[in-house]
Amino acid sequence: MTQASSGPLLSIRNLTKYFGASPALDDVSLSVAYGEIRGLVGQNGSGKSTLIKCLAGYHSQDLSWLLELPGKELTRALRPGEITAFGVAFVHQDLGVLGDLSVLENLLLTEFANDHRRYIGWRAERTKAKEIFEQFGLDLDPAAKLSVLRPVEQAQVAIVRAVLQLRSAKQADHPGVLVLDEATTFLDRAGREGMYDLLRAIAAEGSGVIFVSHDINEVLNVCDAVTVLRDGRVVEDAPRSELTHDDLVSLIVTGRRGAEVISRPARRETLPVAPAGGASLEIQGLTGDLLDDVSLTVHPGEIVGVTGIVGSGWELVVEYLWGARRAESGTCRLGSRSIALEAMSPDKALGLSMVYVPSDRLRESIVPDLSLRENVMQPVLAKSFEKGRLRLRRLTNACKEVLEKYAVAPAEPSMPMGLLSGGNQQKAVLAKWLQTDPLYVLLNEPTQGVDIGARQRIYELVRGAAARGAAVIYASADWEEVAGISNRVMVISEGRVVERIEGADISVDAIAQGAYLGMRRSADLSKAAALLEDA
Amino acid sequence: MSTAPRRAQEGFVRRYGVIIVWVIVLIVFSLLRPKTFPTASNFETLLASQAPLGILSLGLLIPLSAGDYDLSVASVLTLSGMIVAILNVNHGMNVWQAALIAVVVGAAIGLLNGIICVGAGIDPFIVTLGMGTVVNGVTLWISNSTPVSGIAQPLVNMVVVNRLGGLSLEFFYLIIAAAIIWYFYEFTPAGRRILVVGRGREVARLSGMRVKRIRILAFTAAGFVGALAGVVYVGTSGSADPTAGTTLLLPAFAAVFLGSTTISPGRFNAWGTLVAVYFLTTGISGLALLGVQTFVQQLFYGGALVIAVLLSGITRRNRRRKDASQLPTEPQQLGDAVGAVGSGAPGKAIASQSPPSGGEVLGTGGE
Repeated sequence: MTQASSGPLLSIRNLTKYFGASPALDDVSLSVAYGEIRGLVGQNGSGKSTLIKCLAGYHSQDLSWLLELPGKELTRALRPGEITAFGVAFVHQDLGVLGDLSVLENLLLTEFANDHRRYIGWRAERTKAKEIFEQFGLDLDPAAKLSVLRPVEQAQVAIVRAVLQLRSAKQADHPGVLVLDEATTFLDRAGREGMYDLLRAIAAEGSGVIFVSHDINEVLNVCDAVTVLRDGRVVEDAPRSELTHDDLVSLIVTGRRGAEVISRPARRETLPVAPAGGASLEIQGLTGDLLDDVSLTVHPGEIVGVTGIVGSGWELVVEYLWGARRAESGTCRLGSRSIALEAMSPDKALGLSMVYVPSDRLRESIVPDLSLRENVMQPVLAKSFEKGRLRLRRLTNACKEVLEKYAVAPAEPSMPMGLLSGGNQQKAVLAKWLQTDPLYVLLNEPTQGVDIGARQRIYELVRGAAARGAAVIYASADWEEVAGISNRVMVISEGRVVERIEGADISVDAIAQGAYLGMRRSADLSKAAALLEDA
Repeated sequence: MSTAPRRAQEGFVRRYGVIIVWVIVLIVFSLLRPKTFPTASNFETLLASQAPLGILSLGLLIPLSAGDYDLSVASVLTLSGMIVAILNVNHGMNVWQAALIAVVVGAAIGLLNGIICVGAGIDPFIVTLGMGTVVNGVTLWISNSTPVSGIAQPLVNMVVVNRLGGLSLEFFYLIIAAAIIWYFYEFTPAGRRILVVGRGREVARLSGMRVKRIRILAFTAAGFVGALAGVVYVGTSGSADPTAGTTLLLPAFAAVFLGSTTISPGRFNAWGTLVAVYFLTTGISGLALLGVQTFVQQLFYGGALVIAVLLSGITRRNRRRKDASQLPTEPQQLGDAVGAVGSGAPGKAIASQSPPSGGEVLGTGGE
């Protein structure tokens, strides 16, 4: 929906950026027109982040470009944050919102940071906030504490704040550009819908949007045009109408159209024979928070998908089972052993040969400052402890071996974990746990924020673990993924298992049907009907 | 080994920076006071007399590496010394027995710290600040606010009088303590686990570590080691002063933080702490020989703490920036940089809840 305009709102031309001797970006051009939502896609390491960092003024050296904004042309690098004054605002993956503050306080954070007013008229600000929410069709209470909002709503607050920032920029005579840097990564499918509506409303006002994402479906859903980066070069710049899902996948992975790439695991029809070893894992009457009397069984060698829509509580199944949170009641039976889930804790679970991969990688599963060796080898330290001390060299060698085996790049044990790409971090986390040959593997959104290449590898690793006899619970909001990898799928809606799908019956449609038809809340039913019509 | 050359070039100065500065300070004082400073006896005193501070710093290092502050360690040292003195001098108890009781009391205070902080989930900064003050009060109470002297000779002999290679035995106690701590952190799985607990408490918990137990044990160990330092302290002076020991709190913090900028930069470490203790005391003793007044001690220690924290903050940031420009794949860093200017400083928002780590700035909640 490009409006009549004189030239682009923002245009980057011939951006080249070197890190040392090698170019991270090589002659990259990207422009955003008035009212345009511009997708920016590419694997981790393709240069997306570098490009955004150049715009944000985070890279100042070895950079050449021509940056055009309405009434402004620059060839020099920007200072950090300088571009906000030219009407470009960012929303990052972590959203930059504070849970302890109210929605209104969060909205005003930026203004407080940039403006030196002496008095805050809270009543007027509240009215203003309500107006802007109304304008974008959002049903948010300015007085609510942010942490009680759903993740989608928190993201919406962050986006509205960025819009306010655009409006208060010095050059408010043009509509400004909003940059969403993987801001949807931590939202689930149903939640993202609310995001798209908001973005379309913002674009309808004339603002441009740069939408950085891993998720091809959402890019195709919301963007007017897409730029694909690969190895620091633009391999495609096309309107949405000229692109298909397969085109994009192929472009991202190979740099050209028409190559055969499987972005989701192919269905595996036959149930593998359970190898001898571990007993089945049986959950009975799991209750707590949203969950209400959930029971499920996972056999050795089997992958059971657990999914549903946002807020239905599907992710709680693995969190309670691992003891990451305390359930109210429920039991877990492993063969002859029976464990009360209200007394479960991660160390107990670990002792039962369970492992758990949390969904929030940055906060829950890696220590970015510590080396790969210290992160990955943590569960097996005892193996290298001999004659009264840790054999560090042996530990390093063992780590290198594990990293190579699990295709973590670079396989450099001394490298700080935080320097790896998201995909490699996640492979390293899987390596950390799968090297212990666990009997029970609990996964919570294992491919969140991970590029396509690494995804493939992660699916292989998960299947490998199952093939060796592990019982796997695969909790994910990505229905295609769940449908592709699971032998059985439990669909959870409003805290109850509403659908059990097996074997050849597993499909995205079947999951969608279960998830939406299982809902009782009237507000969501209309959405459900709409989605089913689409399908 | 692609990182090897980079390490080599940037590593040396960073790793040994404090040692280099220490040597420079030694040379400067030697030139300024050639007759009194560079003498065997001065160096002997310098090396041995700081054992109580050194051991105390090593005790403080333990909870700090687990991500918790302990502001009560110096108070524990003082109480422990006073317990030894009162039991031995006033009640005629065997000095070793008295020392044993003192150490048990120290560990018990640490345990109590741990239980309150971890069990009830209260900020250690506040809990240990209060606990330290309570312990100070108890020390004044049991001693009637007066120093007790006349500690039995066996202890004094074993601490300062007996020498090995010209140095008092206490110097070797310090070295042994540092070696044990170093061994623990470097070569045992438990030591490695503490590191993870200190850097990412939630990560540690979700990895199945018993974070609460580890933190409580770290507090207990700090109380235990602090009390040991107290025993060495009374052994050094042959008497116990109800207030003198508490002034060691700041130097101990300065030593641990300054120590985290050297040997293993960015990490609280035993040898770095030891180097920092000697660097600080060399400065003090040199200044004393130059004839400056005692308030300079406070300027020096306080200044050193602030500068140490500042330095480690800067090196840490530089390292991040350098790393970031080499491998541009970390979204969090961008969040930090942009967020701090543009929006509500997301990086800081998270940092304000995180515990201290090697080379990180002391102040929390800096919004």
